[in-house]
This record gives sequence, structure tokens and C-alpha cells, in this order.
Amino acid sequence: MRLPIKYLLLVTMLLLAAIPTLAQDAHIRFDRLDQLETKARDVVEVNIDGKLLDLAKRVTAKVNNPDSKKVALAISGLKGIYVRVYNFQNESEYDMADIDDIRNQLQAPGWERIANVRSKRNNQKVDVFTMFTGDMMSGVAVVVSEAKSVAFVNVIGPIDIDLLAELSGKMNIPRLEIEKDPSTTSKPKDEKE
Amino acid sequence: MKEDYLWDKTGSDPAIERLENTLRVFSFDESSRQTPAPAIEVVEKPSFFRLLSVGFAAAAACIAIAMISWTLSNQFEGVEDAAVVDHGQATTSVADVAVPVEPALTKPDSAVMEVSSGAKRHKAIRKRAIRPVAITAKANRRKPDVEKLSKEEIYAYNRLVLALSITGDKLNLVREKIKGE
Repeated sequence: MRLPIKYLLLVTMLLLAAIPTLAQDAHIRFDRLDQLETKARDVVEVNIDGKLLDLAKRVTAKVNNPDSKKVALAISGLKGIYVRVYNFQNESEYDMADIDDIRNQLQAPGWERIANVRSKRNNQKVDVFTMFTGDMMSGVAVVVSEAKSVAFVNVIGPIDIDLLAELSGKMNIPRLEIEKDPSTTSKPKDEKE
Repeated sequence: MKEDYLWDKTGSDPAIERLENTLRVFSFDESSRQTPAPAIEVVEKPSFFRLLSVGFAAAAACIAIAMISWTLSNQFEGVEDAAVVDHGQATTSVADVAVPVEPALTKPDSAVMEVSSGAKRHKAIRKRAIRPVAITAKANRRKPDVEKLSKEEIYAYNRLVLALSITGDKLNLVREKIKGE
């Protein structure tokens, strides 16, 4: 009867080793951003996954527009996209500790920072992270903190980042200027109806 | 040796009698017979480590199954509504920008022009007749040609475009910095 016990222990260890692998995914948890939400002047929250995303992909593929076709191709492997934008009335109205929870999640194994931009103007910090599973990109995360706004973007699944940045402002993806210094704001070139 | 004595103890055989006397010590004494000791059942208790490993394996299997089902359920989860929450002055340009997308997915305005009087109607029809190409081209440039879309599809498309626009905008910040703009 000693032989089955060894097998049991081996199976147990294998199962326990598999659990972290299952848990590791590119989904960032935005549950603990209540502090930011209470302090913010306005909040933008977008969650698209599951059936809604499938529906949106189908519509994007239907639209008869070359840029739309490019977008449809760029997002074909997408599994989810989550956006949080918090705009504040005054500068430094939020605490960096509120953002630390997100940054800590992005310190977990699997995430790699591919871009890090710091600008003293507006006290702007931009970090772009990616997660790869093998050779496939499994997620992208963008954290942007400025004097009066904080933004988090989490994309799950492979996405063409360059294409997305390039298409911003074209087609019906207008260039957004949610919060910019009035002295440096230029008129957006988006096609408004 | 006389066989009769050995058979039924008739007669006498000194040699055998002497032998019997010597071995009498070892004879069975029925009076002193004792009942045999009750059989003791030896129950083999499973060792502590064996129990622990079985329990451990069962718990790990349950945890693994729960994790797998939770991961799978998250992937196929329903969608949360996209919400724009305004606190106080709601001047989010996001909402304003998102709105233009909706008309893009409906019929062009020129096709649904309504007039009240006959003269106006005639004029409108003439306009449409005279310059159908220009209006159609303009409409096409503004509004992509799409098949009929349900409300859910329009909603889903709007939300996706909103999310992609914000994402693209933030990624552009990095791009601009790299390019030195």
C-alpha cells in the first residue's frame, strides 16, 4: 500500500504547481480603486468582454471602411478590454498609494514593462506593460498618471499596439483629449458629425 | 514385545509399562483444559501520514477544479455595462465624442428628410434628384456603409470604439514622446 501514497503525493504536488499557472492571467483587477472614484470629478469606465466583444467584433468587420477593416484585424484575437479614466478637479488630488495596487499587480511575474515615459509637464507618467504566453501576446496594460487625471487600460489578448495608436484619430476612432493643459491644446482633427 | 498389551492392554509388558510411566507427565489432562484465548482482531489503523496525504490530494484536486471552472467562467462571462459616471460638472468629452459614432451607423440624413408642405417636399425631392451623387458621397464619407444593425450591435460597437479610442490615445502619448513631439 506504500506505492499509491507516493503517487498521491506526486499528483498533489503537480496539481499545486498547476494552480499558479491557472491563476496567472492578464486581467488587472480594478476592484480597489474606490478611493479614486470618490475623489474624481468624473469617471469613465468601460468593460468589454465576452459576448459584447464578440458582437462588437462582428459589427466592426461589417463596417465597409478600410480603417475599420484594419481595426477588425487588429482586434481579432482580443478577449477583453477594460478602461478606467479618472479626472480630478485640482492637481494632486489623488494619492499615489491609490495607484500602487495596480502597479503592484503589474509587478507580478509575466508582466514586462516595455515603455516608460516621464514628463515634468503635467507631472505625467506613462507606463506600458505587456504579458506574453510563449510567443503570443496575452495582455497589454497602460497606466497613465498626470496632475489631474489617472487612466488605466487593460487589454487581454493579442492586439496590434502600433496599429491602434496609428488609427487613433481616424475613422470613427476620434482622437480624445480628455484632459490637457488649455495653453497647449490644439483643435482635434477628428471627424465630428 | 507383546502386541496384545499395546492393542487392548491385556497382559503385561514391563518395557511398555515403563515407557508409559515415563511419558505420563505429558499426557492430556482434560480437567485442566482451558478455553482458548479469544481471537484478537488486529485492526490496521491507517497511519497519520497516509490520511494526511489522501486529504491533501483531495483538497488540491478540489482547488484545481474550482480554479479551472472559475477561469473558464470568467472567459465566458456576460458583459458589464459600460458606464460613464459624472460627478458634478459632467463635461467629459468622451461622451460627446462617442455620440457621433451612432449616427454613422444609421441611415444618412438625406434619405429621411421630412417636409411638411407640398412645395417644400417638391423642392426637397428636386434637390435629391439633382444632387444625389454629392449627397451620397458625403454621406458615405461621414457614415460607413453598414447593413442593418440592431440596437445591441450599435451599443457594442460604440463601446468598443470608445475603449479603443481611449487606448489609442494613451498609446499615442508614448508614441509622441518617443518621436519627440
